[in-house]
Amino acid sequence: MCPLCAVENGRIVEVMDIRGGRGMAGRLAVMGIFPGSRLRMIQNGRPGPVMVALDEKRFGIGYGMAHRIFVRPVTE
Amino acid sequence: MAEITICLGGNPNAGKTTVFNKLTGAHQKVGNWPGVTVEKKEGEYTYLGKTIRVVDLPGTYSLTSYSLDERIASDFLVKEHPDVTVVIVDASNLESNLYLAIELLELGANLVIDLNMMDVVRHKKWQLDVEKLSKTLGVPVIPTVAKKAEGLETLRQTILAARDHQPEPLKINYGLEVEEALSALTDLIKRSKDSSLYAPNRWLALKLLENNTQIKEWVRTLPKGEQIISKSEDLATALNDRLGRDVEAFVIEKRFGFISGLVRKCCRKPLGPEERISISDKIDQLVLNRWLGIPIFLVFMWFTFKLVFDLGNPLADYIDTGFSWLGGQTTALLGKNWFSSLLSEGIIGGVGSVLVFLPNILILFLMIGILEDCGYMSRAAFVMDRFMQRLGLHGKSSIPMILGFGCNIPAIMACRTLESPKDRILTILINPFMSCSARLPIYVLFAGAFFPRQSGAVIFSLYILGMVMAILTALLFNKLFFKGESSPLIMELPPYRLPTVKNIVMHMWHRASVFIKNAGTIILAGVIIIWLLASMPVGVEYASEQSWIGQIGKIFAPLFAPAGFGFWQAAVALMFGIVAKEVVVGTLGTLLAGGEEGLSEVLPQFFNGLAALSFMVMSLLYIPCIATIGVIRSETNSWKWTGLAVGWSLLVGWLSAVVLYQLGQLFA
Ligand SMILES: Nc1nc2c(ncn2[C@@H]2O[C@H](COP(=O)(O)OP(=O)(O)OP(=O)(O)O)[C@@H](O)[C@H]2O)c(=O)[nH]1
Ligand SMILES: [Mg+2]
Repeated sequence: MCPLCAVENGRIVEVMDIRGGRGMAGRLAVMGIFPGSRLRMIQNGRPGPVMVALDEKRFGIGYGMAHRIFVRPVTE
Repeated sequence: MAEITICLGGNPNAGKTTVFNKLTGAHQKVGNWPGVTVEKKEGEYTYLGKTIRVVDLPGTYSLTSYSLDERIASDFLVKEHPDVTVVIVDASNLESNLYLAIELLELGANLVIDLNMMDVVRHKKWQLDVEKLSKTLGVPVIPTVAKKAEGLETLRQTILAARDHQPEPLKINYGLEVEEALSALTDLIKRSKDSSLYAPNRWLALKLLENNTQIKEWVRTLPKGEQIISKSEDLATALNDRLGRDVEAFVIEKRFGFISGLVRKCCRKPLGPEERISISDKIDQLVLNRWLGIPIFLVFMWFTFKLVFDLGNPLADYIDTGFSWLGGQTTALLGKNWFSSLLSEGIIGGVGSVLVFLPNILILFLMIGILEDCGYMSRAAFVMDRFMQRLGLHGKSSIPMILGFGCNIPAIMACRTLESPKDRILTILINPFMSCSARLPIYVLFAGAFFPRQSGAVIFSLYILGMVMAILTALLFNKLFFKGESSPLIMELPPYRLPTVKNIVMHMWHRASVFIKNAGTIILAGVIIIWLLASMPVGVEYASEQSWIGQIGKIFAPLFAPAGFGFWQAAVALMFGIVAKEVVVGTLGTLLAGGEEGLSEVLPQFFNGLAALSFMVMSLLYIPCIATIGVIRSETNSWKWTGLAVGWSLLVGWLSAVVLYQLGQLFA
């Protein structure tokens, strides 16, 4: 398990845990990002925000938040 | 009186406003980024003899809101109880877009689902079983391509036919633990509810467990409100323990579970490798690049101002010649009397010298329109996030800042999408330093008259100066007035789309008509007042120091002497510029030009190059116009912040102009 901001471009990962405040988890969840969602890293702008794909959607997630989303790699 | 009220809800950027415009024939702003609409907009249409009132809402992902614009949307969706709620669903992102629809079905809203963006779905060769979707959810589902008005006739029909439906609220099974808590809470609510809350009891209970603050406030108004709330909080805490996690997140995931089952039944996507990289992604790997991101943005900006000047100016010159000729003809035809003076000096000299810059302004809005339509705006938020966080701002603050190049008023309204109040207030306060299009005529006029060869560079540097002042102000204010963290960035990045010519031309035309309307109303009124004051008292030489306006100007002129323009006409122009920044040029036109001589030929008799520069700097920074001050007041809801914005900009503007002029003289 590693934070989202440590994932390399092109990798597919599964969200395991979101260690933020209650508001943050809710905010992400209604956008479809919660434990079990699959994300693909499009552009990791560390130490800036990261861009990930969730199905057809693309999200920009600030570094501070990407730091607290824990994921594990998915092997195809 | 409208017979039916409907509202358009949905996720940001799903196409709500596009549908609204197509239904009502309005021209509300559409753009390819989330957060274009930040307030309720109303319109009307008639269908089969019935008048239908339509409310276009800001976008929201759910009925729990995290920012002001989302709050406006969810408040309306939950509390206003429209006859029909049309949910615009972006069919190319079915799962996440259906979430709001499901929440509304649980509420028992009378729903019509508009499956928009079907062109994208077809292009991707997905198969969507619309019928099945509609059957399973028990509400009408209409596929549309709003941009091309496809399917809208069916939508109109369906809306009308649906007006009297009274659907049963959707019930999702949330599992034993949650259901137990729900029924306990539902009972409690049932016992104390009065008729003011039409929402189903189970739904209210569910929202309380989800910790939805808006619903909490609402329930609090019930006779035993406090008791219900405290009970719900106890239940939620117990549930958190039993489930081993937040019940809020748990419930949301259950809903998504329901949705994914639904989508699996109704939608088939051709199998493709998951790691397919789209063209949009490829562009992003360049545009969002760590090193290239900001330079790309600056190059685009530089190119914009180059175009504004190089392309706009020859056109502006034609118009200028036209007005000079008109002014000359007027005097020749009517002779020298007060009426011809009003026409040629007041109206043609004043309003004309502003209208001259229409081509420049059109090009500026063309470029902003392209930015908004292609999908770059949210990328700008992304690229700038790290930098903005350092200033104590937020990535999304860059969107109002870019919009400020057009006009500060909608830009300040756009700050509603910022989640944390601190980010929002700070972004509002620095926005007036972003140079709006009304200030452009000043630069084009002065740069053209004094620095014809470097005018592009001069104008570009003014814009940069405005940005630098905004940044410094943010740093300072953040230190002085705010504590606490910025909220982290989370923003959807819509796919790049080719801007449609029609949309951009419409947008441009709309802005142009605002500019022309201003010229015909507020600027006209301004220059007539100035002309009057310049002709009084009776018998005085027009626009001389002895005229009333000369007397007024002379009081303030010494204040500007250290900045190099200590003559009364400049003072008057700046004073009246507070009404609207275009009036600065209008005033100079009324007071200085006249007869055959154009304003740009007369200016060098009053300013030298350095003074011209410092006058431009002053005009850029010195105070927000009255309308902007009004919006700052209404959006911050505080005279304190408004006063700060005004006082600070006066200080910064004056100091910058003086420092520039004094330093320039030292080195010249
Ligand atoms: N391909 C395609 N694009 C569409 C369609 N309908 C709207 N759009 C585009 O989608 C983008 C968003 O449209 P808007 O109408 O501004 O969306 P909105 O839902 O009002 O967005 P917010 O006000 O930001 O919540 C614009 O670029 C539209 O041109 C459609 O049917 N197909
Ligand atoms: Mg909209």
